[in-house]
Amino acid sequence: MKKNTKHTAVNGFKMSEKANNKRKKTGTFIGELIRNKGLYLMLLPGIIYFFIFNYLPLAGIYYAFVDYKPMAGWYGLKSKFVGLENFKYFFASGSWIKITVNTLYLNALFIFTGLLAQLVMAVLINEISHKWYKKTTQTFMFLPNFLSWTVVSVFALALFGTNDGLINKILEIFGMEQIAFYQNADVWPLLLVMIKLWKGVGFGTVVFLAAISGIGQEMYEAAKVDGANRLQQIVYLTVPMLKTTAVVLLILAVGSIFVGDFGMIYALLGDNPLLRDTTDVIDTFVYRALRTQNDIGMSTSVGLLQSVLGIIFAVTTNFIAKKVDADNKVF
Amino acid sequence: MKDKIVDRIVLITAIIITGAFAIACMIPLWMAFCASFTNENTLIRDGYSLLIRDFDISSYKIVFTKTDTIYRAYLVTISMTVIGTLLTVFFTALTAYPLSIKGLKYGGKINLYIYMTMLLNGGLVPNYILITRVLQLKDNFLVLIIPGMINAYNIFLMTNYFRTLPASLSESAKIDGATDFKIFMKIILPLSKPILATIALFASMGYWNEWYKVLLYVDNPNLYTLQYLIMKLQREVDFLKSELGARALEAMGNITLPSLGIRMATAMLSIGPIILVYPFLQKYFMKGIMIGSVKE
Repeated sequence: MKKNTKHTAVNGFKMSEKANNKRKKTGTFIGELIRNKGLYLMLLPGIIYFFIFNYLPLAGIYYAFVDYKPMAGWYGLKSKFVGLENFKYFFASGSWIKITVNTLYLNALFIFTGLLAQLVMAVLINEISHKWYKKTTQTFMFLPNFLSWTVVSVFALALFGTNDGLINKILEIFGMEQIAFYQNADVWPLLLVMIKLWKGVGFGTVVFLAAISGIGQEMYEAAKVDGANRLQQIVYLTVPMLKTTAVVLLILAVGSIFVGDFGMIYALLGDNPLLRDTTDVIDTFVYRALRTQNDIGMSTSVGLLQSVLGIIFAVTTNFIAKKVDADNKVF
Repeated sequence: MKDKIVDRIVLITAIIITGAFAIACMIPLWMAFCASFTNENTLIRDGYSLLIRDFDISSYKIVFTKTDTIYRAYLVTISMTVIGTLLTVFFTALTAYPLSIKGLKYGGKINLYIYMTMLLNGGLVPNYILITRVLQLKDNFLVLIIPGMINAYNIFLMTNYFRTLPASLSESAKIDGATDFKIFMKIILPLSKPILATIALFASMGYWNEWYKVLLYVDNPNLYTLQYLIMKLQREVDFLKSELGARALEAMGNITLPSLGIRMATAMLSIGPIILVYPFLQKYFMKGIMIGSVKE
């Protein structure tokens, strides 16, 4: 990016004289804007958009440090400055440990089980030689990804409902005791993992399948010549070749480990207070603080803490991912 | 000989596990499908099952004929999906194209400006106050479209694609006197259909499944999206208060409330269009994931 100025010269030279003469050769800021005004005009809507929707809210971080009064000037920014009071209030409430642990724990579960299942599923799909079978199973696996969490929550209630849910009906047939899923916080980490796998594995498998197709066929031929059976090919060839992909996906996922899956948890469980012990994450906490308690100061400060930790994690993990494999980076 | 047996076992294991998972992926859908066609009383009495018992389409009848809630939600969802997707694709491409041109002196700086938005994030509350108080977009159709319309990630995907197009095309057009915008519209966009289609697919999926923004920014029932309508129905208490719930109650002679069936029917209606187009678009989606995961 820094070398753009040099490129201008080279590029300009490459263009015909005619085009070059059309453009005034001023090196100034204004000169550049005039010379490429068409291009800069095209960028303008995007620049304004990002300013309004991404940079302007940054000013709102200041809400974390005031005692928010809606009537105060500048949309409440002129409320009384209280320093770190909001943060203190949050840490004093005691819920910070629970929501942080829940966020990290659930995300760690999602990441590890997800990657493992995707990898295994991709390897298995790759083993199947019947094309139609491969395609059909993949189509089925891929579909849940396109359903919204609200639809999934309808399914979940029908599956896990206490009196009429399918699972409890099946338990009933076998004469077993019903499980009140929606009143039992302990079962939800497991259920959430299962639901997340159900929704996400098919999608993630595609990435691994692409990586597998990148493994040269000649390597498999060589392995066959050496007398390796399919199992040995999986263990000594396919899986090791997928290691880099897996590690990079893992690192990048860890980068957003502080971001709770609000959509999933809110859609599936709503504000069910019975389940908060294991499912209340930072994002649901912030939402509740905003919408039900209307505590602007505290919810902003919690969001700020989350963002700061998130940035540190994202930058670090991206840096590590680059070290592992230069081709894989988000930014 | 031993190896052949191992190969067989591997293959059979693969077939069984992938098949089982694929079936597991479809079971909830099938169950909901059956429930939407099952008589409400049966559903209440016997619970959910994987069979259609006492075939009954009254849930759909109520949804379609008793109120216009579902039509309205469809209208909102379809219009926001169409308009939103078009705007997303157009503005993503419009921003991405200048950044793909090497000679643009401040391109690098603008790139950084956009890239920083991936990291910096005001959080829920500042965004909430921006949209509800500063921009006054609460209960406005635009709130469903504009926030999140373009993002840095899509712009970079598209910039990378534009960079693969031969620069000589736009340069020669430039010499012929075409403006940058004209080059973009007439030459670049027609050559970029694959990436435009990919972004459009993912964007339309996002708009179709939108409920979060409704939850935050919309109180007016006329602006409910399909997905949010489902969420509303899901919360039983809200359902009873809703127009649909009241009418349903009326229709059933105030005896039983077909809330289960209606919920299922609405869910089915919201995913129906997805399932209809999905088989045709699946491979483009997969391509899209690949583009996303194999950067640069």
